[in-house]
Amino acid sequence: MTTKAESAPVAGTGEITRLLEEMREGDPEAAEELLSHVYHELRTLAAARMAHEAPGQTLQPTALVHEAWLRLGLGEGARFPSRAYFFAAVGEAMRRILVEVARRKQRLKRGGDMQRVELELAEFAAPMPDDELLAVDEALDRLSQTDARAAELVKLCYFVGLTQEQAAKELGVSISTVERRWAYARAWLFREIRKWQVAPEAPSATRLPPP
Amino acid sequence: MNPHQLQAKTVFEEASGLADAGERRAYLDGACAGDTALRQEVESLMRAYEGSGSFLQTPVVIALPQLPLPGTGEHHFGDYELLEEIARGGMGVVYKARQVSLNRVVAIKMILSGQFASEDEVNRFRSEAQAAASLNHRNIVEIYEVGEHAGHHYYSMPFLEGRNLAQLVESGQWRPGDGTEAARLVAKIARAVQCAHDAGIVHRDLKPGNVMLGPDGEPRVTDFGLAKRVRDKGQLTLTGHWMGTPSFMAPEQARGRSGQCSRATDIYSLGAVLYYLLTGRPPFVADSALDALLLVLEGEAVLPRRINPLVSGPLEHICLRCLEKRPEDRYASAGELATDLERFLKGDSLTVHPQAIGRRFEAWGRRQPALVARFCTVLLCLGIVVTAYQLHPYETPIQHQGVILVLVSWLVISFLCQWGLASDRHATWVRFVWSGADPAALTAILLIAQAFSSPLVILYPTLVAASGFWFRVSLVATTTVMSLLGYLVLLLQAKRPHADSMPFHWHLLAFVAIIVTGLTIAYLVNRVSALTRFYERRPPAER
Repeated sequence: MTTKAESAPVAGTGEITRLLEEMREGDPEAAEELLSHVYHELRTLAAARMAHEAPGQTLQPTALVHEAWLRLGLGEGARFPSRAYFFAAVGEAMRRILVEVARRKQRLKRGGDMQRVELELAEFAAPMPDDELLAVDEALDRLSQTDARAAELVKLCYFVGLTQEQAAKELGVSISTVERRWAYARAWLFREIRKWQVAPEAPSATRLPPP
Repeated sequence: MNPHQLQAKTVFEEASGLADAGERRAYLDGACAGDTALRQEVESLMRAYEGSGSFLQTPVVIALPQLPLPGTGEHHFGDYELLEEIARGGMGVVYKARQVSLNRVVAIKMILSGQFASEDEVNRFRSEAQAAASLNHRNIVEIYEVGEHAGHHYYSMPFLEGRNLAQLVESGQWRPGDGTEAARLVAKIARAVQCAHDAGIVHRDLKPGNVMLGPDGEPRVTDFGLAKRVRDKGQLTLTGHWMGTPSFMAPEQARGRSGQCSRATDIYSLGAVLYYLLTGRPPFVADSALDALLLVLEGEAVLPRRINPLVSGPLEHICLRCLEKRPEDRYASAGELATDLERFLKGDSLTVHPQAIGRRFEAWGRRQPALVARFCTVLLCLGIVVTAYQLHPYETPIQHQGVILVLVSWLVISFLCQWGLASDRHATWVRFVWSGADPAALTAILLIAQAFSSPLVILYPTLVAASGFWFRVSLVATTTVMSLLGYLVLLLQAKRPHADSMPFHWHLLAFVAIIVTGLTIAYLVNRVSALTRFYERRPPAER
């Protein structure tokens, strides 16, 4: 009646193709712009799913990626590396959405008076506690500084939900490379977040005044 | 990645592929061969790997929230049998439903859980809904019931056949004509709004989408007092063009001071709805939400008669009076607006008078700020120059006439440039001409008046600073360069007849002052445009 669900694509066909072209030429701004389109697209698609599919169901972002790809006018033609850039953008967008949700939940919890957690369009959920997700997010930033490709793989497998076979195909590398890279990324991140969770707590506990 | 890390990574990856612990240890012994730092790093990674369990193994998901939906077995929602989904948006879902106990067909608006930030907001929503439910007017969609069921807040209202005004206009079936029909509709809506105001209820979000037009031709206002209580953040349009823009919002509301929302806000919105019906577009349309906001705050709407020449003068006055920026300049009440519209329909004279000269000048200033600023400046300068000459002739008559001639031609050029700006094709170079013409005119005046060694050269940085209003770095640069050139010309002219008494480095400092002003302004312009772009790219939910 007064609310209206529209679902026009964010950008024209040419726009996304141009951005992918520019990324191939190494323009960092294009990546950021593509990300903002993908971010909007994911939210819209999730909302559209909410309108058309049975509620209470969960789906992996992968289920939306192909749809997003088509809706952004990229068609069947484009292949590596354009698709890889696109998947990377989806992974990054999912990560940002999740981090946003987790931060907001934490803020509300600290606010105290709020029990029902904000639910927005569709709920983007990570299978780990919010603190841990935020820790992973920070650790992932550090990983991408030392090993960008490993960080990329985490985004594809964890935030987009690709299987290792799919990730290997999208990245254009062998499955064994993906397996080894994945093991390294998981080990590195796990060590990193434990280091940050455990290490700073010990000294602060000793500094606490006696009750 | 430094070589040490890379080495550790390579060794780790190789080792992680070996399933057997003994084999792995043997491999590590060989690969690390006495390099203890490497060995430690790999083993620390190995320990983390073995302890990581299911860490990151289950990917994230998107959970679709639970809402009762027709067709999924959950047909019943309390006393209501859900028949059909009418609309769906970020804030909730509207269903056509049958109220079982009273056996009547209703529209029920269900609000998604999570729309309210606190219990306090829920209470406010409910009390306002109850207040709105007490309204009884044929042009207001009444609220039957407000409640909560299974964690969802909802309210029910009659199910109306027909479309809202926005759908009507967008579908192209609305014929604005001479505005008689628009005046009739808005008069009725204004009467309804007055009735609500009398009951102490402000709508806050009047817009064409909130006015239903029934098959009987009667407008009915929906969502009284409720629309803005519910954070309508999930506007699903992504173009950000229409729904995210403050097109129907009063300036005081757009400024974000919701405390200032009052009856005057509703009167503004009524005017905006009238404007929309007269012209088929909202009063302010811009490419981006930020530009639209600036227009609402500072701009002047294009006169309705420019868009639809059939609209009569009095109707235009009524419309513009509602759209006044200052709440106190608008109609004092929705009832007065309705009265004037009714008088217009009957052909009587209006209570509202055409805008006073001062107000018209202000409106001109809002519409063509660049021209009006120059117009005022030149008039002021002319006044000062002429008066000073009468009192105490400092210049020769030739010089005096020369200065006046330049000032007048500056004014003429400004008018021509303003005219040129209206054309899409030429606007770009006209702006360059205009921003270059200002320092050129100043140089000409200073030359004629032989006023080089006077404080008047301070006008150069002033012009550069004013050029910031174009919000384009290239135009600031043009003005700066032209100012520098102008100063250079003055310098050369002054050198020729009699030796200049000023030390050279003073001029250098003046140059630096002009350049620094130009850089400062360019930097600010750059910053503002970066902010603008940033906000346009934000997802609507974060705005």
